[in-house]
Amino acid sequence: MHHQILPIPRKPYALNWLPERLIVSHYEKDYGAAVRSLNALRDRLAAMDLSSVTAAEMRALKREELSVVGSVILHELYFMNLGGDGKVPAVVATALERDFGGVREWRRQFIAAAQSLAGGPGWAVLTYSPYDGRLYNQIAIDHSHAMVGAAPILVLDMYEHAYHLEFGANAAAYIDVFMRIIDWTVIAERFLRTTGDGQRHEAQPSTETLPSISVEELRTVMKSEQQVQVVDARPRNYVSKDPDTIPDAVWRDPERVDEWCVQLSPDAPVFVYCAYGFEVGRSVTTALRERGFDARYIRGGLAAWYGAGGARAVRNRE
Amino acid sequence: MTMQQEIAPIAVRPSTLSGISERMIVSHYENNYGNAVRTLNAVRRDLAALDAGTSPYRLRALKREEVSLMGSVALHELYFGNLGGFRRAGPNSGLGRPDWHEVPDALAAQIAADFGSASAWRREFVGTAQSLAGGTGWVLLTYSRRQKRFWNQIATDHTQAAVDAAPVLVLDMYEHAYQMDFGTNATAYIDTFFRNVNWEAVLKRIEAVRKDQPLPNEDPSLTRAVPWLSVEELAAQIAEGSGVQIVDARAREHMSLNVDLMAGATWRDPDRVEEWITELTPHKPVAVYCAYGFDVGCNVTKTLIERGFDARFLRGGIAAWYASGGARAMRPSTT
Repeated sequence: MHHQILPIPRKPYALNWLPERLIVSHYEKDYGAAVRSLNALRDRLAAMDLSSVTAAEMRALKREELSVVGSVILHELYFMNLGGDGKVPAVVATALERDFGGVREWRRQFIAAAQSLAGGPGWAVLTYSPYDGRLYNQIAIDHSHAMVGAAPILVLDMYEHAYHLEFGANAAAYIDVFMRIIDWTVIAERFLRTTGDGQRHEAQPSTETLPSISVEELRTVMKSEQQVQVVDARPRNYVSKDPDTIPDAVWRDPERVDEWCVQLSPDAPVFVYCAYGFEVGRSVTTALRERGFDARYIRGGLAAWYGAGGARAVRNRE
Repeated sequence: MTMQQEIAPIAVRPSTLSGISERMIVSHYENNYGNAVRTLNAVRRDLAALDAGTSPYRLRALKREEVSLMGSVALHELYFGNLGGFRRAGPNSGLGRPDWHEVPDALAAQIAADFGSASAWRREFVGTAQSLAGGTGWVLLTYSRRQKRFWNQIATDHTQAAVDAAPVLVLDMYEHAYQMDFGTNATAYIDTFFRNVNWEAVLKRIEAVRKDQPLPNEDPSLTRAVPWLSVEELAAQIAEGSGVQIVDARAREHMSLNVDLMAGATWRDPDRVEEWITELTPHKPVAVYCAYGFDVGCNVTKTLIERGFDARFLRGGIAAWYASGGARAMRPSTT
């Protein structure tokens, strides 16, 4: 049972005060490493001979698994609750009022809990406990410290990789930025889902009709004998900053589809990626499909490919 | 009486490291190490104020924090203390081979029996460190007094010290130790760390633990034959209004990089003592500090003492002052 890497859910260049470089490094390196470790661990566990395994090895692997699962889920929740305007909607404000005596009081407690983790590792989490029907601010010193039976509603990563690159030791400045860019619409959805009977996980019913492929599926296809064409359709300014590509991909300017689409073979599928899988790759895929190609875009783009541990190659100059 | 944890001066000259920036190591010392010392003192004050009616959960929380902070303080001091060997590990150092990638022969001889060879030890140490990338922890070459042998251990937090054992080589794998210079590239950091290990200090630690002695005190100011005072003593003098005259004697190029100085201090060019010495009051004590407390402050203090002043240099310099939470002020732009 492999965990598929989540395409980065927020445009990394659109987060006020959190630079793209920081969030992409966090996504590809830290979150990506957690997903890869989790999959490797589960392979290992699945292949283990249970009749001969020692208790120490089982314990070590299961403890790591719990920690890495925590890391994967908390990172996904963290990225997904970024990108808003920091304004608390009424439904959450009412609950914060009830459980903390007001939004401002909750905020002070949450920030203080987060700041107590400066210089060390951990997560600050607003958690809903169905057990006693209220919200708590909890800290998790490592990825496996979840409150029993409770669901995280708002997640703040206080591991130093989340801020040191940009803010140095100034955790207070990072927390301040985070509080301003919380996407409270996501928080409200999580809160309503958790307090109701709904599913806890974030998977939205997809309304997408454009065909796509995940990075894991792409890797399988590329390993097979099947002939594939992979197009790197990142905008020109992206490629000048980061010339690496997926091996065997060719870079094509997304603004000049008509000039280069004639070079593609109509008989083999075309997989198109951009930096993060938001718009550019999709619009190029749409354009190729209109011209009769069997084109799909790659969900999560190049960042998801790297995050999943995909190989990188230096782009050929033509 | 509460036991006060004093700030130890940084044991390595921050500007001499190869591939590790002064900015990062000083931030590490002032912010992370300093914060651990300050928090430990706060926890101990809280503990001292407890009485018989204190609830067990509060005692437990404070005692848990105390042992963690004590670990952080000691491990940070040992970490800074085993850096700075780059310049000394050359062909004429007598420590070993000219190639500084290699573990010196003297250390190899100590650990070969427990690991098979020095390179086997290094491989395991580096691999262990890499397994902590993106997380937190320490990697230690530890000597077990109980088993009379060396082994590599990790500590995923500050409290995971081996029982009856002493760390002789300490690598900080908390992300604050490398992210500023290396981002997520922990491998490059570990490689750079090895280039900078002060093997001489490591060997002195090994010599001590093999003889069942405590680890050596690596405070560099103890080797200076000039009277000194600690940042805690200076803070106490200021608080009791002793009229101490505080001279900021950092070299001119340091001042152009840092506009802050200690609250109440006056910057004086260490190269021009003759010009400003007449402005000091002869009958009041003088405290002299430089950036880290190695040479500049000592030299100025020596000159002042020769001229009859009651002068002392500040152990650990302005970095120790900031690390202890001392106040900072903006330097007047006219001086």
